[in-house]
Amino acid sequence: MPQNLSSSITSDRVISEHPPQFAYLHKVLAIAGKDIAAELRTKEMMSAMFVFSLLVIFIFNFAFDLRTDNANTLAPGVLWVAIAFAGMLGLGRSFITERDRGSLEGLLLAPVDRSAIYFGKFLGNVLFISVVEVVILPLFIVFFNQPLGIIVPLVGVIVLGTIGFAGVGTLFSAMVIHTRARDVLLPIMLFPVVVPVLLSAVRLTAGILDNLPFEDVQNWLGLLVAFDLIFLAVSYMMFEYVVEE
Amino acid sequence: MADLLYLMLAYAAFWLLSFVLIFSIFNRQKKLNDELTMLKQLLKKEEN
Amino acid sequence: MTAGTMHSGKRDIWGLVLTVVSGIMMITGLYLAFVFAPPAMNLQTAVERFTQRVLYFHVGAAWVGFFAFFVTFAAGIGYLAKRTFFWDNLAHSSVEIGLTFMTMVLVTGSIWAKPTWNTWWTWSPRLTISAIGWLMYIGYLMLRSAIDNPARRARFAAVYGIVAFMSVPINFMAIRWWRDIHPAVVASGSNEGTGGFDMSPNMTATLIFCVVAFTVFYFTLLYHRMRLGNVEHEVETLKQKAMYR
Repeated sequence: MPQNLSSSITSDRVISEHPPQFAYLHKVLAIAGKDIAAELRTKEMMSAMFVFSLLVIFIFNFAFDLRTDNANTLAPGVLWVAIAFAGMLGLGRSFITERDRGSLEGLLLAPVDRSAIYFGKFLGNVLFISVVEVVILPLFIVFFNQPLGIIVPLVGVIVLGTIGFAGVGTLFSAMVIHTRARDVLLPIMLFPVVVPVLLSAVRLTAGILDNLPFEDVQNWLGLLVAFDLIFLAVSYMMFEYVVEE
Repeated sequence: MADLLYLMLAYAAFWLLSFVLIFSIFNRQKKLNDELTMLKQLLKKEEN
Repeated sequence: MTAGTMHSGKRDIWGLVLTVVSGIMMITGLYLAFVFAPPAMNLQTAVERFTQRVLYFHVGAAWVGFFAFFVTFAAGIGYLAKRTFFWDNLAHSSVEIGLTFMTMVLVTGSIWAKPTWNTWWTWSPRLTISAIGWLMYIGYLMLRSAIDNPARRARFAAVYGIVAFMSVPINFMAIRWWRDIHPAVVASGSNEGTGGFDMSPNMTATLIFCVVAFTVFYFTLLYHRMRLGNVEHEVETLKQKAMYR
C-alpha cells in the first residue's frame, strides 16, 4: 500500500502537469483516499461506529423515557452524544490501523509536506464520521418525530460540528497511538477541548428543532465557525511537531 | 459553632491539599536524593 | 535564581527565602480573611456570613489554577522552540501545582455553595470552566505517564498543553453564553463571583492580598517542584550512564 501512495504522489505526471497548489491537494486527497479505500475493504470501523451510535440512541430512549414532551428538549443532546461517541471511536481507529500495519513510517518517508498528511487524515476522519452521521440522522428524525424541513440546516450544523471534532481529534489521535491505554486517553484529552463545539452544536440543533429566529442562535454559529477555523489552524501547525521523528 | 462548619471545612481542604502536595514533593526529593548518592557511589566504585 | 542552587547538594538560599516569605504571607492572609475582613452585611444568616470568607482563598486558588495553566502553555512553546529539559520541567511542575490548586477551587467552591445556594454543585461558568480545566490537567498528566520516550513525552505534552490552554478562553465564552440561557441553574441572578454581596474596601484589600500571597505560594511550590525535577533528571542520566558501561 505505501508503495502505491508514494508513487502516486511523486509520479512525474503529478509534478509536471499540476500547478503547485493542485499537487498539494492531490497529495491530500491521495492520503484521504488511501484511508477510505482501506476502510471500504473491511468496513469494520464504520460498522462498529454505526452499531455503537444506534445503541446510544436506543439506550437514551429507555434511560430517559423520551417518548413524550421532554423528547424535544433532550433530542439535541441525544443526537450530539451519539455523534460524539461514535466520532471518538472513529478517530481512534484511523491512526491505530496505520501504526499496526507499519504504514505510518512509509507515509512519513514519502516526500510529502507533513501538513498534507494532516489534512489528508483530517479529511478521511471527517468522511468516516459523516458516513455514520448519514445513518444516525434519519434514525434521529424517525425516533424523535421531526419534520423533514430541518434536514438541510441540521446537516450544516452537523458538518461544522464534525469539522470541530475531527480538527483537533486528528492531531490528538496522532499522539495517542504512541501511548499505552490509547482508547481511554483520546476521549479524556479531546472532550474538554471540544466542549465549545458540543455546546454550540447542541444550541444550534435546539434552535433548528424549536424553529427559533436566526438572531437567537447566531452567536453560537459564530462561535462554532470561529472554533473550527482557529483549531484547524492550530492543529495543522502542531501536527508538524507530533510526527517529527 | 455549627455556623462555622463550612468555613472550617473549606480551609481544612485548602491546607490538606497544600500539605499533600508539599509532602509529595518532599518525599520524592528524599527518595531521589538517596538514589542519587547510591548511583554516584556505584559509578565511583566502577571507575576504580 | 542561578541553576546552581536548583540542583541537589547545593545551599538552597532562594528556596529558603521563598518558603519563609510564602509562609508569612499565607498566615497573614489567613488572619486577614478570618479577622480583619468585615462580615458581608447583606447576607442573611450567620452561616452564610461566615462561609463567605471562603472566597478569599477560593479566588486565590482559582487565579493560581489558571495562571499555572498559562505557565504550562508558555513553557510548551518554550520547549518546542528550545528543546531543553528546563522548559519541560517547568511545564510539568506547573501542571502538578495547577492541578492541586484547581482541586482546591472545586472543593472549596462546592463547600461554599452548599450553605449559600443550598446545593453542593452548580454549573456556574466559573465552576464549570474550573472543572474542565481540571480535566485538562488530568489529561496532560495521563498523557505524560503513558509515554516512555522522554523526548516524545516532552514534545507531546507541550503540544497538548498549548492546544488545551488555547481552548480555555473559547470554552469560557461558550459556557458563559450557555449559562445566560439557563439562569435557573445558577441559584440567583446575583454576582455569582462574589455571592451577591458588596465589597467594602477592607474586603477588597484582603482579597487582593490573598491573591498575591497565593501567587508567591505558587512560585515557591514551583521552585521546589522544579528542583525535584532536576534531581529526577540527574538520576535518569546517571542511570543511563550506569547501564551503558
